[in-house]
Amino acid sequence: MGMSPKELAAYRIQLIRDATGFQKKPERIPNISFFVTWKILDAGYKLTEAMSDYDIMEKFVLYHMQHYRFDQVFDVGVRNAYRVSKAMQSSSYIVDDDAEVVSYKDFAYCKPEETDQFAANYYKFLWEVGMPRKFPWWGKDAPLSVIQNAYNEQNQFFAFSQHIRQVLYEDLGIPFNGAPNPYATISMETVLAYVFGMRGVAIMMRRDKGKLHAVLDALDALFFTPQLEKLKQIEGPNLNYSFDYIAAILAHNFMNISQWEEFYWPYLKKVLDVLAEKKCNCVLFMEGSALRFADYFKDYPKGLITLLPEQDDVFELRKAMPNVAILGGMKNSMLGNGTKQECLDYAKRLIDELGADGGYLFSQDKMGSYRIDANPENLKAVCDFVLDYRPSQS
Amino acid sequence: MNETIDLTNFEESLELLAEKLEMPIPKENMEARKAALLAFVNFMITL
Repeated sequence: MGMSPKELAAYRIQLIRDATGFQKKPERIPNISFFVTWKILDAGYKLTEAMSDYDIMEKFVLYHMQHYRFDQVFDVGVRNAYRVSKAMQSSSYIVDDDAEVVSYKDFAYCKPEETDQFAANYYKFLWEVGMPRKFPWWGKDAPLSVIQNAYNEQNQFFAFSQHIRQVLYEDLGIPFNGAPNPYATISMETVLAYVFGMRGVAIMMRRDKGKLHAVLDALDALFFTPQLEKLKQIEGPNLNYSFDYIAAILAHNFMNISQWEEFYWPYLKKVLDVLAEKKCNCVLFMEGSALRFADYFKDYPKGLITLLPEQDDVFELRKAMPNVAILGGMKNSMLGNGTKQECLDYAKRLIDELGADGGYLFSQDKMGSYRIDANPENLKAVCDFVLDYRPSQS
Repeated sequence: MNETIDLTNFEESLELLAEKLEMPIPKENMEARKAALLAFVNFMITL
């Protein structure tokens, strides 16, 4: 008798929490999908048609999870809020069906000389300066129908995000990924992604620290600090979910160590300290490289941090941070260009060297975006192997 | 219907938009409608 979807989801949560916790050798290594737009192409759809149609979105996500039998998935089709963006008449997304590429334009809505205005009243600045800069129609004669349509699209987007997670749970036993805990956004990520942009932040960290701090302080007061206070109120791990907290970290790539210590680490440390005290687990998706920040993470207790690295050698990471579980490692370049045997040999090495005693969750080393990120036959063989393989438990 | 709205002043247009937009929040609860609109612009700026 097979397990019911509900039982399967509980079993998978246990596998994942055993692996992140190091407390118990998992029965097998959990297999987690980090594929994003690759899923669309693999299921035979064009990017624009799939990103514009929630029925197709549901189909390609279900196909992906059923065909490859992953235990968990990070992106349930909603990585790009493409329909909402189109409803706002935004030109941020460039989707090229022929090249099979989704691009997103870097955009900064605040200029360094506007810092005082930004810090004095965030929402007023956003409404009167940021929005018209991003959406030129947002002004004196803004069409109400466009706003209504975008607002409706936003609500549909959130509704689909919930719906697809529920379908995955009820039909396929895929657990809910991240617990609905308060999320304390590190202000530097917001500033980098939207306020000043990558170039602006890089310049201001060197030339305009005071103004940068003023903006960070304004965002902290509105978002980071209240959310952190709410996070302090949670009881502890939520065992209905695979992870208690999932954070994406990008801004560290633009910083030297002293900038990291000034602008980023004090905030991330506050979050990690709370999660450690609550005995929660958390995923840190560190885009780019994480290795040079190993000293900041290596003293936390086992079971707190699961690192999802991108460019680092995962075997080096394990040596540098033996207390940190690793999620990822399977090279997309190998899945895309290697032979099936190369892929299987590397998958076995990852599991044997990183996961035999816990502390490892199988996944890919990149957000699978392009067709070249995996040959479907290689991926299928690897997923079947991970599902069947039992690492030596000596 | 090509109704337009003047969004140049934050305080005034937030109030006006909260009244005019069809939202799943009753009109009696204007503070919740305005909070939902602030969350809306906070999300839109990321797109």
